[in-house]
Amino acid sequence: MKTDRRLGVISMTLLFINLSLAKYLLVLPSLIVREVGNSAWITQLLKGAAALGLFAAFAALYKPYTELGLGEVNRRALGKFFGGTLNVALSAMIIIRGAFLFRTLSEALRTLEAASASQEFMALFILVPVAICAMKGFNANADISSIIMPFTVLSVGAMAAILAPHFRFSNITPILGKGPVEIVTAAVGKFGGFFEMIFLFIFSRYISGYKTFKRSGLIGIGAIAAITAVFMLMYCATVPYPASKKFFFPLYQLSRLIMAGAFIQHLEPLVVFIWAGIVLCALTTVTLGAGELLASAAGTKDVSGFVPILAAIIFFAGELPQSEIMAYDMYRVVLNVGHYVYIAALLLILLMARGRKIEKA
Amino acid sequence: MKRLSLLGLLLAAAVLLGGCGYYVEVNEKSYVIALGIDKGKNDLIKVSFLFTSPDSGDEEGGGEKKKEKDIITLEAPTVYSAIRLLDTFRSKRIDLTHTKLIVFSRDMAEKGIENFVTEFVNTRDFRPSVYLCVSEGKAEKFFHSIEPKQDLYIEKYIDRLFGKVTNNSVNEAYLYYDYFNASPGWGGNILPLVGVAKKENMEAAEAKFETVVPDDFSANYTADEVPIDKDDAAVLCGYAVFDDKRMVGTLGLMESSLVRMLTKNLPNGQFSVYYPPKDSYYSVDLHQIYRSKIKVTVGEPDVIDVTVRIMGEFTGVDSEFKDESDYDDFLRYLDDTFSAKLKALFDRTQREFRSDVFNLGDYAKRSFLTIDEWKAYDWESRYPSAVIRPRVIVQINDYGELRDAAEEEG
Repeated sequence: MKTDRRLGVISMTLLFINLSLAKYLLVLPSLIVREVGNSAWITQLLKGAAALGLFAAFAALYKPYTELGLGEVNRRALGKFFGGTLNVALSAMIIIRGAFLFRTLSEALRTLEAASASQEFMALFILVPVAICAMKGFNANADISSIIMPFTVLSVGAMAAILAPHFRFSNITPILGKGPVEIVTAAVGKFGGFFEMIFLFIFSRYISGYKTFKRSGLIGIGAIAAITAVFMLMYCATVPYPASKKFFFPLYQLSRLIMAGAFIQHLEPLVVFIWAGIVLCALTTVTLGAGELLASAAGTKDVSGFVPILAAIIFFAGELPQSEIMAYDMYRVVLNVGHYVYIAALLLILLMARGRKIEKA
Repeated sequence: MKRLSLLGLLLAAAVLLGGCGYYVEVNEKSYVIALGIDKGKNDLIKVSFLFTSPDSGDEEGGGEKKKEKDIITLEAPTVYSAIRLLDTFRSKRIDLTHTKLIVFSRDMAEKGIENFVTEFVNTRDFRPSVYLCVSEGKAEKFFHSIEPKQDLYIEKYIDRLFGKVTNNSVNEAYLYYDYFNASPGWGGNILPLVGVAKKENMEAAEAKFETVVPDDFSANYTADEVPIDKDDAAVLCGYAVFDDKRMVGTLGLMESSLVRMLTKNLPNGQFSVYYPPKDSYYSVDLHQIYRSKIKVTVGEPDVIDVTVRIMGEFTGVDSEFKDESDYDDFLRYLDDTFSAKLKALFDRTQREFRSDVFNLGDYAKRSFLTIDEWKAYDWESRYPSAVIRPRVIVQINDYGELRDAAEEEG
């Protein structure tokens, strides 16, 4: 795997945004709306603010180890056995979460694009390019993310502009939705927060220096919060609550509402195309992240050997839930519980590293 | 260079990724243009399918031959079970993606249509651009009465009938999404009303106008009442009114224009108004530039202020209008008349329908911080006793001068 090129702020930020949008744009909006009502956009802003604070604190602790990567810091801080075990455990959690997301999205893609095709076919259709891209390495994935992301942001912006006549202020009132307690609970305690920030720590050895690492994280979290808040606002302003909680994939439903003249309608296939792009890049990043942790546990820097195994695990773990609904429910549970584990693990590793004054890179 | 060529080759190959494994030829499908749902026996429903006919199209070599109607009615427990039955004798695959219109009969609407609409929204078979309406009589009969004289195709006829914008038209687009979105149990709803007019309506109208002033406001017909010198004419006229669950009444033609003032823009159109001081009829061309201003002050009682500002011009200057005060008096009369008609419309929603048909609660909702507070306020039960103060201001543009009686009065 080539690791000669270090990523700058733009590439790393776009990769991070892409990874988070797969969750925030595709799966979470309806869950968050169900939880907090039409104030989902406020939840996203709060979530972003909380994540900024958390990332700034973790980044300050991580400053001396940017060149190592989280897996290596963990191995050095906790020792080969405990550090390696924690790396494997974290890797397993990332893969399981990725597998349920993968199953949910491959089912959705099948329903929308080829309802009569088998789910396994769609799963392989996604997983093969993911595996190939992951084999090509981190930089290749970052480059593809850099190409896809602008189109994703542009498409959301264009959708907002076209749907503007549908927006109703009354749809986002009462302004606090189900109430401030629900907003705060959803913002800090549910749906995995901005747990994707852990990937910045995992991949930090590919980033050109601490400043780039920190700026990528701060800009990325800010951008994700802004993009997803705009998307939620657009959704809530278009579809009033409680009708808004009935749609499984709001992005798709919004794309169906686009009817600007004879030509600008029937845009769902385009949305699905962009959607597939986001999913492919996000799953590649998940595979590489898990591989990076496993490689650190094994004391090697070459991730490519783990990619086929991880791809196979994602496929088979994704097939475990008996139905799409079961996969979705399991994904929700992993999201709600998992981020506490990630935060606790990150905190433990960084405190141990600081406490034991491990060798700096 | 080799890499670039390979990349180019791969990108070119990507065009083929769509594949053709699940393709279906267009002429292998049977396209449903409109779907009618009537009440059947023993809790069954009667589903009528109005199809495009292939006789002027692909299979017979083209040409602009007018299409015959192809209507099939089946009795089944659900719409989809009717489609399954349809499949037993139609050679082509049934396709709903080009459906333009869904018609519920009045008796179905009075039972409630929310479950049907939710089912249609949740399936991908229907486009969101389907018009939704209620038929005063049987939906099946409405389909049989459709005669697209000026249109070659029935689908064009439906598109034009429901999509046209005049001051008497009911609405430019009533998508089922609008109904689905606006019916979360927090207020009422309205849907366009269709029906089948009869020759006898002429006599009924003549009898009516022996006792009332024959101006536009008196001609407040619903779909089945439109006086027309023809039997079984398909008509789109007025609205079906729903409370949060089921249909509770109808609004007539002129009330539809008032609804347009409230909900959307009133497009250009002539209004004929009887003016008692001159004992004469005047035509004014009215249109709406500004959206209605609606303000709800929650409290005991709730107060709803509705201000509608309409622009217009005289289309005929009466010789009896000698000076400016005549015009001003007429403007004041228009203001008062339109305000009174709007008040009467609101009174009907409060006394007869007992439902916030025009979703004025959307404006009340803004005074609350949380959904729970809003729910606890129980707007639907408070709406009938709210004080509604409608005010219509008509501004007449007369020879480059803007006249506004209300503003001149201060």
